[in-house]
Amino acid sequence: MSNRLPRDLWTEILVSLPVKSLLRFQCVCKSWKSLIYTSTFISMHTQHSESADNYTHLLHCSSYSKKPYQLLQTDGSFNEFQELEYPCQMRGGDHRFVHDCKGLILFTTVIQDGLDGNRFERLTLWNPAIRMSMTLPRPRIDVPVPKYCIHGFGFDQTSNDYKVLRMVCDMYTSFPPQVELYRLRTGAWETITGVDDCFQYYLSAKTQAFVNGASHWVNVVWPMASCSPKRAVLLFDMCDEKLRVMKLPDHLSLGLGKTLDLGVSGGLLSLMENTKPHDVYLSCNIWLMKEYGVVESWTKQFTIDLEGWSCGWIFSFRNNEKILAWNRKNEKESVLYDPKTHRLIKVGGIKGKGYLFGKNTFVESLVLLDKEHTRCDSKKGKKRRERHACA
Amino acid sequence: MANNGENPSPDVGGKTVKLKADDGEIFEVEEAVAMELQTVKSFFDDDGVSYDTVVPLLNVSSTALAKVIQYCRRAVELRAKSGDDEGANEKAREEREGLEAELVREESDEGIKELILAANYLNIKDMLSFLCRAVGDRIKNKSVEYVRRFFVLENDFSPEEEERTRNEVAWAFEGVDAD
Repeated sequence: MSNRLPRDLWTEILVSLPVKSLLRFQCVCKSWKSLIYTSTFISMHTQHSESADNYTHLLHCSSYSKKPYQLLQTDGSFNEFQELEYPCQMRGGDHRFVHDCKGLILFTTVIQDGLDGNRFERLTLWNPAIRMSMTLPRPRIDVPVPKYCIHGFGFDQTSNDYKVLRMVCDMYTSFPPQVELYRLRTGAWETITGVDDCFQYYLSAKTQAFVNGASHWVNVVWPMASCSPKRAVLLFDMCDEKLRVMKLPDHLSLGLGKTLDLGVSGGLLSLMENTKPHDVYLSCNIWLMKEYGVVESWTKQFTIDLEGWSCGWIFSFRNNEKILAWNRKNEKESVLYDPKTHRLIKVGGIKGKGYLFGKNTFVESLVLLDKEHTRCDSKKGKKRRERHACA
Repeated sequence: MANNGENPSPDVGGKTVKLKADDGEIFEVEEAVAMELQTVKSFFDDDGVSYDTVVPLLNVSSTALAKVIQYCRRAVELRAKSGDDEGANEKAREEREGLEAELVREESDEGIKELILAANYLNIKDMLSFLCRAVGDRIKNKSVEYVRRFFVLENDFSPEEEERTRNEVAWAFEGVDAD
C-alpha cells in the first residue's frame, strides 16, 4: 500500500520546481493543472525563484551589422552567454528597446500608422521560461512626430502586479508628458493625470533602472540663460503610480561634458558617469546611492580609465559588479571589466555596443500562464555558448 | 524492546519525555528535542498534563519516529552552536544541510513519504520544509506517470485533453528521466 501525501502539501512541494517541470506536471491530473494555473501559486513560485539565488542576467545588444539584435542570457559567473531565440512574432522586427522585470520581457516595436506620420508601439510581453507571449492592447496616446515615447516596466509589490508605463514627451519643448499605465491584472491602459507642470522634462535615456518599486530615468534640461545643463532623476513609483523628481548633487547635476546613465547594483540605484569633453570618452565613474532618496548619499565606488573603450551598463550581481565595455574602433570586441581585480576579460558572442539592458536579475517564472497568450512554435531556443579567454 | 539506541544516556540529566509510536514502542527523549515536535509541545501546553504522561503518536511508525528524533536531536545541537559569529553560523548551516542530505539520501520513495507524513503530523516546520524540497528535487526530472504513481493520483484528463497539452508544451517533455 502506497503512502499518499495530503493535498495541502502539494503547493509546498511544487513551488520549488523549475518551470519546465511544472509545465509538464500540469498533465498529472486536473487538480494539479488548476493549482499551477492559479495566480497565487504563480506569484509564490516567482517569489521562490527570486529567493533561491538561481537568477540570470539578460543582455539586449544591438549593433549596426547584419543581425541587429541579440538577446543573451548569462548566469552570475558571466562565464557563458546563451542566445535566446525571440518569440515567433518578434523575429525580424524592429524592437530596439527591451525591458525586463521579474521573469517577463517587454518588447516595444514601433508601428507607423497612416499617412499623417502617426506612430505608436506594439508592446509585447514575453516569458521565455514558458515560451509564451502576449500582446498588449493598443495604447491610447499616439506618438506623432516630433513626440517620442519613453517606457517604464516594473512590478508593484502591494498589488502583486506588473505594470507598463508610457510617457509621450515632446522633443522640442520640455512640457509635461502625456502618461498612461497598463496593468496586467486589469489588462487595460489608464491615463495618469496630475503630472507636475512646474518641472521641465527631457528624457534622453531610452532605458530605465527599476529599483525600490520605481522606474528611474535621467532627465536633462538646459535652463534658459544657462551654460550648463541641469540633470535630475525622474521616477515613476509603480505602487502609488506617481511621477516624481529626485534631485542629484550639484557635482553630478551640473557641468558640461558628461553623460549619466542609471542602473541597478546590488539592489541600489547606481549611476554611470561618463566624462566626455569634446565628445571623446575619457573616464567613467560609478556611483551608488547608498541611501535611497537621500541626495547626499551618492557615493563614488570606482573610476575606470577608458582608452578607446566605451562603457555599457553595469552588470550587478550582489557584490560582484562587472562592467561591459566595447572597443570603439572594433565593435565586435567586448570585454567584461572586473572593478575588484581590474582585469579585462574578453567576451565572445556579444556583437558590439548599443543598448545593453541587464540591470535587473532575471528569474524563471510562470507569469502569463494564466493569461490569454500565444504559444510559440516549439523550436528550441538557439544556443550559443561563449567562453572567456583571459585578456 | 529495541529502540535503536536512541535513548539518552542515564547521566544526561534534565527532563525527558516519553513518546509512543503506532506499534507501541516507547521512545524516551530529552525535553528540548521533544519540543521540536509542535504536536508534542501542544500536548503538554494543555493545562494539567504532567510531563510523565506518555504521548501517543498513533500516526507515526517507530521507524519514522526514530529517524525524526535523531534528526531533531542533531538539529537542536546545531542550533546551540550558532550564535553571533558569522563563521560559526555558516558552519552550522553547512552541517545542517549535510544532516538533511544524509537523512534523505538512502530513503526510498515510500520512506521519504513516510517521513513527510510524520513531520507533517508532528508539525516540525523545518524538517517538513526540507523534506518537501527533497521530494521536489527527486521528481523534477521525472515523467508524468512517475509522478502520478508517487502521489497516488488518477489521470482524470480525457486522452484528447492530455494530447493537446502535451503538444502545446512538447519541449517540456524533452530530457525527462526514464522511468
